[in-house]
Amino acid sequence: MSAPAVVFDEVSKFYGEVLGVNRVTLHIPPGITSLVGPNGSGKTTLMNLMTGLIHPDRGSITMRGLSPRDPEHLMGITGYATQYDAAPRWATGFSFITTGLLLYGHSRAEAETKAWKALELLSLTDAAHRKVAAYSKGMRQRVRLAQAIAHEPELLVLDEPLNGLDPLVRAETIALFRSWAALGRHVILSSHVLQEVDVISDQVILIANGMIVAEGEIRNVREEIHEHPSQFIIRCRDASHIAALLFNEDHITEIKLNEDRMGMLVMTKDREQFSRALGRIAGEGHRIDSVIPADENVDALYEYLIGGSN
Amino acid sequence: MAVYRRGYHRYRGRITGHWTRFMVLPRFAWRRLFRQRLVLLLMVVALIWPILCAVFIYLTNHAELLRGLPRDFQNFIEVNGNFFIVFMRVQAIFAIFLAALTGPGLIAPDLANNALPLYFSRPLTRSDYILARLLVLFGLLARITLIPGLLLFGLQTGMAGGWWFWANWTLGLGMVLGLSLWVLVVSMVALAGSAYVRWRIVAGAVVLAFFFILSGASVMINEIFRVTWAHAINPSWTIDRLWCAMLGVEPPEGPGIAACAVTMGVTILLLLLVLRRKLRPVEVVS
Amino acid sequence: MKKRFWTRQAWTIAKIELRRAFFSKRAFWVYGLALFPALIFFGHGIEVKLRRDRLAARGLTSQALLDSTTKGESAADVRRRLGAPARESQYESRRRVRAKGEATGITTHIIEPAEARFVRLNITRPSYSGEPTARIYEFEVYGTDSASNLALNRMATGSSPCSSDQGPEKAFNGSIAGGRSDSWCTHEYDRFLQVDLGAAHKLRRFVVKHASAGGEREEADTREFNIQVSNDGKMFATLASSAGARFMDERTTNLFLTYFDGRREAQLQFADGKLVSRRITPVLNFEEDRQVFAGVFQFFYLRLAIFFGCLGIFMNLFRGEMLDKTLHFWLLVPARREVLLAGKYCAGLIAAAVIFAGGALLCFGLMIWPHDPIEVQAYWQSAGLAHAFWYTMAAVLGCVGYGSVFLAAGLFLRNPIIPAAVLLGWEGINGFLPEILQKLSVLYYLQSLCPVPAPTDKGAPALIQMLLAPAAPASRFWAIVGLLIVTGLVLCLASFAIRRMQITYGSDT
Repeated sequence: MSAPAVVFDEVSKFYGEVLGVNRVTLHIPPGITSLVGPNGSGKTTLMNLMTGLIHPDRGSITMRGLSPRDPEHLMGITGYATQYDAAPRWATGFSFITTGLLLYGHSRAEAETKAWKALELLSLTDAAHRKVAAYSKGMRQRVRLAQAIAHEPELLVLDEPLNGLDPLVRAETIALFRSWAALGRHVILSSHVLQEVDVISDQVILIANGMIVAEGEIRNVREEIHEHPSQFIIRCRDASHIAALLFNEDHITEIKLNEDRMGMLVMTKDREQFSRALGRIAGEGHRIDSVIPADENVDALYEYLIGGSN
Repeated sequence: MAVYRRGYHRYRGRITGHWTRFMVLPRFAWRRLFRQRLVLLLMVVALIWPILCAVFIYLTNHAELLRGLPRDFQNFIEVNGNFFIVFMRVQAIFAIFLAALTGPGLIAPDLANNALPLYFSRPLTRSDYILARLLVLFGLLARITLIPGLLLFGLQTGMAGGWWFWANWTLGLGMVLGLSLWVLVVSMVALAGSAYVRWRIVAGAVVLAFFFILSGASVMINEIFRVTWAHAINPSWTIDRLWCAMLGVEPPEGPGIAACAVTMGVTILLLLLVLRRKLRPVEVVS
Repeated sequence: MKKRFWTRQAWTIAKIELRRAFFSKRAFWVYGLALFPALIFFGHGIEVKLRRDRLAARGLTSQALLDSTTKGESAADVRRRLGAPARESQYESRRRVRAKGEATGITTHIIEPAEARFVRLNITRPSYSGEPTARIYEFEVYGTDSASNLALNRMATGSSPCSSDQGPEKAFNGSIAGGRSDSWCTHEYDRFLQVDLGAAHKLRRFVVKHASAGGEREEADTREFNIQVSNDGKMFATLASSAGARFMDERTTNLFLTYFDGRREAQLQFADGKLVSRRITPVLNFEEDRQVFAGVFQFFYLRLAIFFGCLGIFMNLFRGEMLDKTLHFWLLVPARREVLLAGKYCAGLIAAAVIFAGGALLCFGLMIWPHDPIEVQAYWQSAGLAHAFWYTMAAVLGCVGYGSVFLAAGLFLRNPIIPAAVLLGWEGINGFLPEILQKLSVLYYLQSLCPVPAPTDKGAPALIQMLLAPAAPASRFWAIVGLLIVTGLVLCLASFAIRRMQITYGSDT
């Protein structure tokens, strides 16, 4: 509780009669948090609510102690890279970021230095003096990102930031997010690429149809889902024998042997008992090379929590 | 495993004709427009004047109702070219406002949302598209200009007798031609504005500005130079002059029919050029 | 301290917006609107200078000589006295007129005395205008003693009348003053009017009174008719006919001579060698030009140029950005929303004021430019500077007033053109409204600030002029205060709107 957090309290937003988000309650600590959900589930709505671009019909939002209705203070520590592709027609990449920084109160010299730094980070220095309207889609994505990070905000809100970036820039950007998260800043991003979300996020928020389906660290979320048996992949020498032994346990629901007879996929209803059973089997002298949880990832979470429900 | 070998055949049945396909665009546009309350309101307000004109026609044909009034007034109450021109002038103004309200929504959204490639990738040429949009506006504006005009003409013929028709059929023809020309000009301005400016709201302002500013500018030039030829750049004045010629009414001082006809023609051509230039399915930004 | 910080922020915002307001492609149209009147005045100045040079090329005539020309003087005399004209032109005009002195409203036909009982009037061409309606107000038949009308109140028959009160008897009732219902009228193709005199008489003279005798237009007179008589009502003989007044070509030779005395231009028109009209106009009339400028300023510049210019500039500030989908950048700035509003309004106002005040001053200067330097000097020292000041003030306040209204309209409404169109229409018919309603418009107050009252439209028909009763202008002080108060209120309302504003792209267009 002492670390500053992003708090949503029973927030609802309606667009006329269409539901945007419904009774959202969130507590997001610093670090990298990912918003995951199908199209139209309310991810952009949540981000717009966080930054004050739209106002909630019910409930309240606190961003590190500040309210989105107070843009004077909140926007000083927040950077938002939106999904909207439009850019002012007169702007070159460089002037776009510099102007934003001028509005933050920096002097012109300072603004230009910071802008250049941000552009370097995202490898846009070659195109910095061309009009943004003439950029390719990926470049526009990068310049929006540069504009959001140029003033080194405490709160970064990013709508699909890695969309359209080539692998090198993607890796660098992820490293950047990590370094910031380490400093105690908030990085909230939304994404469709679940493998990446897995790799970079500390927290995950699953949202579907305007309602929060799950929130927290990935493993903890997985543990709370009891309807689906946990899956483990076991690599060993004598797979059929170990499989036979495992079948004696009642908590095992399914075993699939691998073609090379050197491994298997085990589905169990109870992880605790399973680990104890494995321990016993290993203790009896059977050689087990590795045990890997197969579905402690966002892909599985998505499929379990959101996938079937539509 | 090529699916097509399993019996996929291209559709070989009857294909609807060109004009049936063409009418799809106006039909949907009309349906959409008549659902807007503001459009309906404006059309209702625009029909007040034709109703008053109908009352006038009734009075003209029932002279006994006018018996007590002075002679000059009685002579004034006659259904002739003057009567129709006054009717046309008022309805022309309503036509401008209606076109400014509905015209922009026809092309600007297509341009802003990049829908033109969708249209032109089907068997629809640019001319078809422009013609379809023109027809939408024509149908809409005709309801407040041509149709009330024809009804008034018919009313007068019915009340006065067949002989009036044979004496004055040129009035009717002149009215139809004159109003059609005006509706054409106004529709072209609305469509060109809509294509040039691309935002529905600004296009409405452009249509209004076109008529009001040209009118003001022509008066200004006339005043400053102490001449009358500047009326030729005022579309309302030129169409009025052409109407005077068509209906046999005494024309106001200023440029003659030839000058007015030429400026009208040039205006329509320029607007057509703007439309063709702006309606391209591809745009390059540099 | 806070206030200074906010002011600085607003100014930064304004600076960024100003660049867009002055240099974007849309600004091009606003410049055009502001500079167009100046261009026209410039053209006028050039035209006047050229005309003066051209007229003076052949030499000047003295002022007194110009004034001494009189109507009826012959062209040769004028040439002898005034010398060679600065310009001359000649053309022949031709007109078809009805021959004077011939049949118009009342036609009289005298015949060799003939004995008859029935008289019949047949109309072959019913009117000059082409209308197929024949109208006879009175048909009188006189015998050899020429004293009494033999046909008066006799039994009459004729083609079916237009209406029941326009029957054949009306042409024999002795009066023509009763309007249409005191005449016989028919639409039939076969038009005739016949009277039975009761007994055979010796007939000498017929008088027919046509439509214009009864007060109608000359075009309704009968064009071609004939009169027949009979004893038995069956066999008729034509005794008189009229082919109506004939048309003839009236040819006139028009000669135009123009003389110039250095300041005034005299246009003398000679028809068939005699002076018929004389028009002396000064080539440059400072007083008149100032009036023209006042009219142009109030009816074009304020009402149309500033109106549409401010519409373009101020609507762009918020609604335009909403349509462009770039408004969210402004809302993500660390500034209060009201500061954002103030910054944008200032930017729009500065741009509009500079462009339109500059345009007005330029126009004023160009209006003054071609005139005589002495006159200009006198004007400048007396009222000129004050006039220039008030015109500028009116332009600037126009931007203030219209700007705030359109900015607020852009914030509140999705389609701000509708209130703009309503405002345009309201101010267009402002002249026709009662006094109280007239005070309810921005233009009324702006017009109160103009130093020279605009000339009323002399060309409008009397009916319109009667309806146009402009209210007395408000005092200048109250006009300014009133405008500023209204602007302040509107901006307050706008600040409420902007605090509640949300980004909803994709719901327009």
